[in-house]
Amino acid sequence: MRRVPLLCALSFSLSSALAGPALAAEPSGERFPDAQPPLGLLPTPPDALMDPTMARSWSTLPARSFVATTVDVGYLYLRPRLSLGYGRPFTEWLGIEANPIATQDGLGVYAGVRFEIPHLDFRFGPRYFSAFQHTYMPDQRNYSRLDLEHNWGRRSRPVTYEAELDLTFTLGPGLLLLRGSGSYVTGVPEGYEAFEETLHIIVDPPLVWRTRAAYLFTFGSHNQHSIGPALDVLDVPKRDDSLTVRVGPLLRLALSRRVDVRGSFVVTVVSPDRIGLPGGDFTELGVRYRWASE
Amino acid sequence: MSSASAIRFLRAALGGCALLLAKPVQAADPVTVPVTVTVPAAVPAAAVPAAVPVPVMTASPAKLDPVLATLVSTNAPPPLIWHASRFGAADWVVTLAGGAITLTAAIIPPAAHHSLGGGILFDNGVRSALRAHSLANRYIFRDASDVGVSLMVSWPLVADSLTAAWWYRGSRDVAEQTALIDLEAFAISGAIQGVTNSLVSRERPYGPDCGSPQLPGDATDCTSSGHYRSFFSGHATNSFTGAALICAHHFENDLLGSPWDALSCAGGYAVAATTATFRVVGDMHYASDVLTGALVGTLVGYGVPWLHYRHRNERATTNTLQLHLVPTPGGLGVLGIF
Repeated sequence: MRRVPLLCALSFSLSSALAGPALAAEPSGERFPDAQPPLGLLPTPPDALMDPTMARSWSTLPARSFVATTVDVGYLYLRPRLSLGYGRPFTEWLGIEANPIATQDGLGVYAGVRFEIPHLDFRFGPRYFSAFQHTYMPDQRNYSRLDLEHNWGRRSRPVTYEAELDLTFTLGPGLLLLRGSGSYVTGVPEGYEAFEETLHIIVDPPLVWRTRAAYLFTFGSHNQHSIGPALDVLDVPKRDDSLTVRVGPLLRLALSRRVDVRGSFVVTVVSPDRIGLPGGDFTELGVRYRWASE
Repeated sequence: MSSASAIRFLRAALGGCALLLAKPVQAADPVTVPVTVTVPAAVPAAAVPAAVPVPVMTASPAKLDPVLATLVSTNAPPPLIWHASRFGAADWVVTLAGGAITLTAAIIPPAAHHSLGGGILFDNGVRSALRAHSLANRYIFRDASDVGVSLMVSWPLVADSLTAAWWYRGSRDVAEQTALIDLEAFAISGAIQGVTNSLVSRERPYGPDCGSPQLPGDATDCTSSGHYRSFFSGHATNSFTGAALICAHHFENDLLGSPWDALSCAGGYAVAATTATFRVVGDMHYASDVLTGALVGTLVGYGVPWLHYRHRNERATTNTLQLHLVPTPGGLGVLGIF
């Protein structure tokens, strides 16, 4: 027991986080829950962030018109999202949302409609992305990393229309997450294919579909944290043998109702292409901050 | 799923690391009386927001409220208190200026005049010994170094500040202060690296290979401005800044307790060193690039926290609020002493 491999130290934070609920206390907010909700539009009192009990979850407030934001930030990405809707923010609502996308690979913007009720989340909208370096690639059976990094002349700037449905069920000691999405990629010249920067797959337009199945074990005093494996399957109908499979862990630690730590490292295990890390869903290792008017 | 069963599963999944790491900071016996929470009067109320309204609470031992049980459990390490100088206006200016310079340097192409080219000192020997033979393998090591630098930049912020200081040790204040110090350090090291990188405009080690059958001249490696951003390594700079920040915060705040703070520090440096080495293996940098980055990163990563930690707030340890669990006729009570 004393001979802990050094590797254990590398996972110390995750380990301490996971060990925390059983061995130590929840944050101070758990000890001293605040029964008074913050005003919302005004600056939030510092203690209002200390709310791991989720007792004042947005889901408990009456339905109304609201403005909400979700900001995902990490190394190197920034995805602020603005939502306008009616209902209970982040829980049960219908409205529109828009978000700019800034990553080390390019800039983009998404806008669309969203409908969310318990166990179901649906969104639809177009997304434009302008890559800094990636270009449209001539049709090939499969692609190498050098093909992706090659300058073929026309910078990649597709518009993707995307519909995505999430279903979440409580199952045993955790949550079962099922996701299905269909994307229609436009703006790619005839005879070329595009690297879809959000799906991380090379697409022969127009269609690509994706499914995800994940089982997340929940823990914490209110089951507000979760960790578990995810399996992604993607396919591009116009490409032969284009089945892509990814697997990896997802993590969410809810520090308060506003602040989450989120991580995902879903790497490609089956693919016709050999493009390395860009082909994985290594998109999140950072913080999500949420806010909504109340 | 209860917390305990969830943790048992996750503990097994991590090969026992979680339990082993947590042991040093928990008491051997989860007896809950008495416990004293010492809170400095100089700390803003936000640090322990609702401690004052609950000077006395009662509960039956048999029906002990989970919140109360959490409050008095000696399993919990003491809440962290921020004793060092706080992040101030000058720090904000430095951080924002550093961030702006970093971003500008990343956008503006390197200087047309190349102040440094080719290997110096031991560079060529190290390159010959370490460089992966095929381009495909070099990409693999470059990807691995991208994962490494991502981990090392995220670790101090996400793992140490948010997870360890806030969630595990229950102090949003310490989490906030350490995270801001981290941002300041990364902004400074990024600015130094970015400006140097643009001015020196050193060609990457693979540069002479551009136009060869193995590396076509129109590959983005050859056509982009990154072609002349060899000196010095941003991956090494950021990774070692992160490693130094991990060490500084762990040792100053005892985030996880001994020996786990030391192991965290060593682990951080191991990942940083591996990341830097992979930049040479991937043929993105010379050894002199990564060594310079490691030196700058370490200096900034230790220097910025040191500027904050050296100014201890002595008043913070004078006046205290104490919470005691005491027996009452109906069960247990919490007594606050101001």
